[in-house]
Amino acid sequence: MLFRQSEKRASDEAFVKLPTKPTRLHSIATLSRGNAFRGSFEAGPANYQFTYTPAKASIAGGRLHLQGRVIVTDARGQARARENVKATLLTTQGGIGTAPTRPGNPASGAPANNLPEIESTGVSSFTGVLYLELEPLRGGALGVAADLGRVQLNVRFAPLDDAERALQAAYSSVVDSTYGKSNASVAANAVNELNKLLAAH
Amino acid sequence: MAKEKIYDAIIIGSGASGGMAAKELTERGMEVLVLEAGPPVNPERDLSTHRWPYESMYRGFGPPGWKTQEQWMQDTAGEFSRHFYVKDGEHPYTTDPGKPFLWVRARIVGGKTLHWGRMSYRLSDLDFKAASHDGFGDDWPISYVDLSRYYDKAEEFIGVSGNRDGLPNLPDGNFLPPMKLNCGEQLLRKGAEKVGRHGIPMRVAMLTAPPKPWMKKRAKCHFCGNCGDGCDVGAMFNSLTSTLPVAEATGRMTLRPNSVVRHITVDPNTGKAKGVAFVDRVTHEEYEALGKVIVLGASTLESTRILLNSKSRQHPTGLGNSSAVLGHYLMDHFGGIGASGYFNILAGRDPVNEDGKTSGLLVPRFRNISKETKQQRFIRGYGFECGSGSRMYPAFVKNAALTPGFGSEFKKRVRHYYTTPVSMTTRAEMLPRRENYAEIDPDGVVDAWGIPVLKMHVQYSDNEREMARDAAQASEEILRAAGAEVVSTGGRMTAPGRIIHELGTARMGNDPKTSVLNKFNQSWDMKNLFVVDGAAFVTSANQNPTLTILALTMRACDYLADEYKKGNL
Repeated sequence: MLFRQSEKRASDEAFVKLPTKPTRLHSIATLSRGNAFRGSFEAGPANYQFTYTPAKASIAGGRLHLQGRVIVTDARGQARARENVKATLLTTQGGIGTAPTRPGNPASGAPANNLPEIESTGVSSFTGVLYLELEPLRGGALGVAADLGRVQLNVRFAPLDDAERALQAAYSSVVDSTYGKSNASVAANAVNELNKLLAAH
Repeated sequence: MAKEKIYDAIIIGSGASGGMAAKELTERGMEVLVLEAGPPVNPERDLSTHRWPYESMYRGFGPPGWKTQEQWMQDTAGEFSRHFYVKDGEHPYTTDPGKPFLWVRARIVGGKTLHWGRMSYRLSDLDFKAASHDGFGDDWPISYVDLSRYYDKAEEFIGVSGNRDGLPNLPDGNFLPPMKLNCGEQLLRKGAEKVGRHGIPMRVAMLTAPPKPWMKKRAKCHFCGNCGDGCDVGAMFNSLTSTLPVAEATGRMTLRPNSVVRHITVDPNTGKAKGVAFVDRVTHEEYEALGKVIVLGASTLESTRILLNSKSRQHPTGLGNSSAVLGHYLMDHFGGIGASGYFNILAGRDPVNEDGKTSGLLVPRFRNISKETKQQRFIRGYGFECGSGSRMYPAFVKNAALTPGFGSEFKKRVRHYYTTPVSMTTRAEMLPRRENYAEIDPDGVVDAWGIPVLKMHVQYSDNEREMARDAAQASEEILRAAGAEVVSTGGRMTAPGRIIHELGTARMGNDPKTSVLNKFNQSWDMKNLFVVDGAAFVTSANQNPTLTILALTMRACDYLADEYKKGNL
């Protein structure tokens, strides 16, 4: 006998109804494609396609800042754009799996001699996901019936070609260079490399 | 008149611990609400036990890119089971550079019991009192004798197959007949015994005998080999077939799926927990459920996340955290180290569906179990999970992919060696260290419902790495003694989290200054709050934890129900 939930459902009258915030979009999950971050989101009953294309990277206050273009496309295909939108890196999720090729990772020390390595650490560590905060956006201006006042952009790296792998490597280097006791010149070099790649597309 | 109901107990989670708590408490007469974050299960739609790879256009591999793009941390998810698991884009968590953590989560009624590995071993006092043995860390506040009858009860209820092997560090239980070892596993066992190790049939929570009367309409395993895709005949223990139906039959359980818990609510007048604030996963409507007792069984890290997110002025560092220990002592087993090869003596025999038996050979821990086996370079120990024999496509592809050649000669070679593979992989203990911990992400990252997420800080110590080095050598020794052609040894240690045995972060203890829970899984700070999943563990041991989680849950619920009846909660 298998438990079948579909036949048993609690009546929500048993619970205290709390104020439900107006439709607020907490996050958008995107994939890094080319040099853009592409994804989709739902706001109420509507679906939207979302693209953020960074044009410029910088470091301020120990954090990576991006500046780029947002495009929101509704289900009818109508696109609205906003230029020079800032995105600030909050933090990251370490990648597990095949690392993009890049110089040694300054964030972790080399493994002790003769002791087994640990996957995706040391020189094989890399960034798997960026979590960025977009500057406050006006939903109405983008045709979205939702509160876009604080939207978190989740950017997953799943590279399909060498150019995307190079971008992941560049972002990883920037992340490593700004972690902990960062070295300003190392960080500056990492950002320069990233900007070169962003400009190349 | 208020329509809201005040439940005797609210249980968060419907997996191993949550489902068992529901069963135990409803059987003791309590009205229980189970809040499950994930969707309900429709067995006909959701369980793919008898689906063949060729029934899918993707042949079991799933649509291209689905895993790396949507479920990149859901390591054990496959095409037919991916809906058990979270989508990582909706469920972030964070780590520092160079310290990855792989967090596998199921969010569905039944939780990880729908796809778990079913291995069920008891801990012994070598584990419960490990600190007394080797001086590191803290002992559990309980001994084996405190838990043994609950191990008995758990094994009897869920059904565990195995052998009574008489090993003091791996206590015997009340078993159904063991799954037989295949040819390769028998050769490997002989090799292990040659070098002074034991090799025993794995103990797995699967019915190898006709079900007992309380196993309502479960069926004996028929060796289809697709346990990880959801067992629709109830041959393996999972919440859907075992605990939830029993709880449902009492008439005292209400289960609400799609209920994503934000935090536990506290009555400022009494200082006790009064309910649970949650958001509907689909509609985003917000609710509070009211209950006299709160039981957390959301799985180790989710339970701790809920407690940390339940901070308030009275509880500024999270609920139940006066010790400042909440979140700390995070552990997982490690694997990835071992050896593999081929038993050439088995080449060319007729293949049989050896993968229908999702069990294998266990080489139990043999290091630091006595004065004679004490090691200089590391404390605690590890075991090996071993398997051999033929596998069905697409697992089969791995062997063919490694075979040189092409054309008809290639096919002959693949067929000839198809029956010979053997592999051993480690399951090793990780020391409990305060500096391995989970916290609420300090940079404000949230999930798709706006709930703050966790940041993990986990690194192995030299103890684990020395253990790994030893395991690499020991596995090769066994494989060679068994007469195998060894093709691969060593390996890399798995990233923390990959073994999916995350434990600790709300550990039990005898001292409220150094633990979150007392020996009955009850919060020191809030007597009507319990945590019954792996968060309560003090050490990881090297044994798979689920059986111990079930036993601890049963014990905690016995205590909880008694205290509730006496009006002490």
